Amino acid sequence: MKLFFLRVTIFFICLIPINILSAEENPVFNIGYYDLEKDIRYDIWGVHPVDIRSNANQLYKRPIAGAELGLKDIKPFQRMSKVKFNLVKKRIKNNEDSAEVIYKHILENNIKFILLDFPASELLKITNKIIELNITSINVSSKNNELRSSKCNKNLFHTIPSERMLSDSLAQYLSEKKWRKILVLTGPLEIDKLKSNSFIESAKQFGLKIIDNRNFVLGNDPRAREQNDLDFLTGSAKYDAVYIADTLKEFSYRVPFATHNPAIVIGSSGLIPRAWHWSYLRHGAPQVHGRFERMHKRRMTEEDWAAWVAMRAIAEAIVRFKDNENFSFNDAFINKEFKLDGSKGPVLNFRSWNRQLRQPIMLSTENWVTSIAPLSSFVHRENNLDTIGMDNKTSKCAN
Amino acid sequence: MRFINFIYKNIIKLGFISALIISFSTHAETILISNEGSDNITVIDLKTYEIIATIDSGNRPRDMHYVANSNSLLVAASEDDTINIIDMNTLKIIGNLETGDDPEIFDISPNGQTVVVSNEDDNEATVIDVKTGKIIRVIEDVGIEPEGVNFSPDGKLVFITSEGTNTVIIIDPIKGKIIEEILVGNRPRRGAFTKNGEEYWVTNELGGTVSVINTNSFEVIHTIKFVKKGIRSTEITPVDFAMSNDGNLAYITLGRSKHVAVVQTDTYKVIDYILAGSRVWGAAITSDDKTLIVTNGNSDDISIIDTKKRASIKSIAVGRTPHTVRIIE
Repeated sequence: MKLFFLRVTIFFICLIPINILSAEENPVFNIGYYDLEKDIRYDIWGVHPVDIRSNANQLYKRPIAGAELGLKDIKPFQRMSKVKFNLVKKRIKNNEDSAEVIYKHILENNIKFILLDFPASELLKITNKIIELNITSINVSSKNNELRSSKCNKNLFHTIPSERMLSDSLAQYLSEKKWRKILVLTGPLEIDKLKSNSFIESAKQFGLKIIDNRNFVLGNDPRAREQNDLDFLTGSAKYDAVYIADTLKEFSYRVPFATHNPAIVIGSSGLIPRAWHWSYLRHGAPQVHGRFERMHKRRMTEEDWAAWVAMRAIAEAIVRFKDNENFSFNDAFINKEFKLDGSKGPVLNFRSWNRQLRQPIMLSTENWVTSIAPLSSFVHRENNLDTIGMDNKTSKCAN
Repeated sequence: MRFINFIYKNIIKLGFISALIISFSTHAETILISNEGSDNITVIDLKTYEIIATIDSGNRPRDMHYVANSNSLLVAASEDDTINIIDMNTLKIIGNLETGDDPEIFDISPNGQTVVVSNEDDNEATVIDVKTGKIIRVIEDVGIEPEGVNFSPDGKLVFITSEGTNTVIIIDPIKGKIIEEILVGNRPRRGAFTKNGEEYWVTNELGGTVSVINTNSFEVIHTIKFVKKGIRSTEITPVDFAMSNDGNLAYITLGRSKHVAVVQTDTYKVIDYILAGSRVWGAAITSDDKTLIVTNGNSDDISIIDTKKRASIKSIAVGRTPHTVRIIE
């Protein structure tokens, strides 16, 4: 028993110098990362039927992987930021009240900044609940247009582009190519309709003509051939391109090279607008891909990029603005001098009116970035990046 | 048929003879361009601006340095993870230096014995012994995506720009230690010492500026901004330097804006902008300061600039994606 006490005492004595040392270290800056245990977006949406059966790596596409690379990448900033970055992950059970859980978790764990990976409806609930904590958050996965046009929250920033930015990018490309007559195919999900509507608005803005908007369903029922057979679905119409909105993707995979008229396919298949694609070769992107793939053994998705760049935004704001009087992330992010390097070419910063990260969009096939929007012929009075997405004239959040 | 064979063989022989002649003429004054897209080096006569040879290098050749006493050229072959040693008499690779992964930019110590290279993919700098071609040590944690590497004029320190961390990291290559880290603008690409060694200038590609660091105090003492009517600030992406040999001017390539800025080194004033090609980045100047040569990464050519007229007088098509330019005189 005596020996035991001796051991315990020695153990505690040993701890003392360690504590003194750690006290001299930079303070810890906790970044909370929250997502849902079961999230349909990462379960079945967009997963190829073969991948469902074969490759586990392809299934696990949670953007937290991007935040993990981001944490590693911002560690070298610590010599300058004078804080030690730490990522605190919390996965919320689907039967829990996410807003309530996150609210408590922030307070109990001294969280200074949060990254949110939730669908739009959950995001709204969460940000409304925590608004009194005055903590800055970044949405890394929801592309919902309303979050940027009418339901803005001053504490909620977005590094993932909106649907509108993606559809504007496609519209610019079609307009430049003079492929102006578009047939729209819309899937059965509510989110498919939102995508289609976004594209239709973009088409209007960039002078394209929507010749028809047809609904499709996945299936083989001959009685529903007008909706499930591509020859019928894309027949009896004249068009240059077929736009398809299909979140599940299983239908859209089969559309390229199978339309009734020879036409390019865009949207959920064919030429796809993305915040990020692994095939991009310029502006330091291959270095980012390389680090991501070595860390996670899979390709980096656009949500991964959004989470990665969110971590960089945090470090950049602290390093550059920490000495400002009354430092806050909200102010730093919309400061004119805030400059974020997303390895996509131009310097990135946030739109002050709806907190959206300005950024180029990669118009990509499955293995190549065909073009980057904004295209050079589209010019904005202030920042050409504002030719895509809602600018301060069109977003209702701008006052 | 025999006759055709005879002619054919002799044509090949003739080819060899003319290659020999070319190799002897490379002692002359030449311009060297590394083409990272086509994996070769273009050799151009500095007097006639004729292309006199194309050297096959390793994959993705980027930075180059000429070593006069051995008449050899060191070329970072990024995709081969090596630095090629090219004999400029025979225009052939005669050896390699170990570099670690993905070498991009490197520098040779003033005494010619050591090479320090940035390993963009590994956040490291590698110190190499030139004589043995072996790695002496690897310095870790030099920031994300280290790029620019410069030995200080006295050879004691190495300055490295870290693109991902927005800093300049100063290391002691002998002890392998990081001595200082200085915050500069966004995406610092390359650095250059002023001729008197008192300042280290750094191009901030995304910040669109040049940070001037005092080499004694290690502090940023000035930030040079570039403003030209008709060019948006986002188009101004500074990359490389050519410091005039008289010490008075710095020529800075401004990437996407297609211009080269001319800056007075004592006042930091931008006195002119010279139009070059698409994504102008690499730069070098002749010893008499009369001719500036820049590589245009997006148009696969180089621009020859008359520094007195401050205008491009000729452009020469080279290989794909010309990266670095060096002048041998």
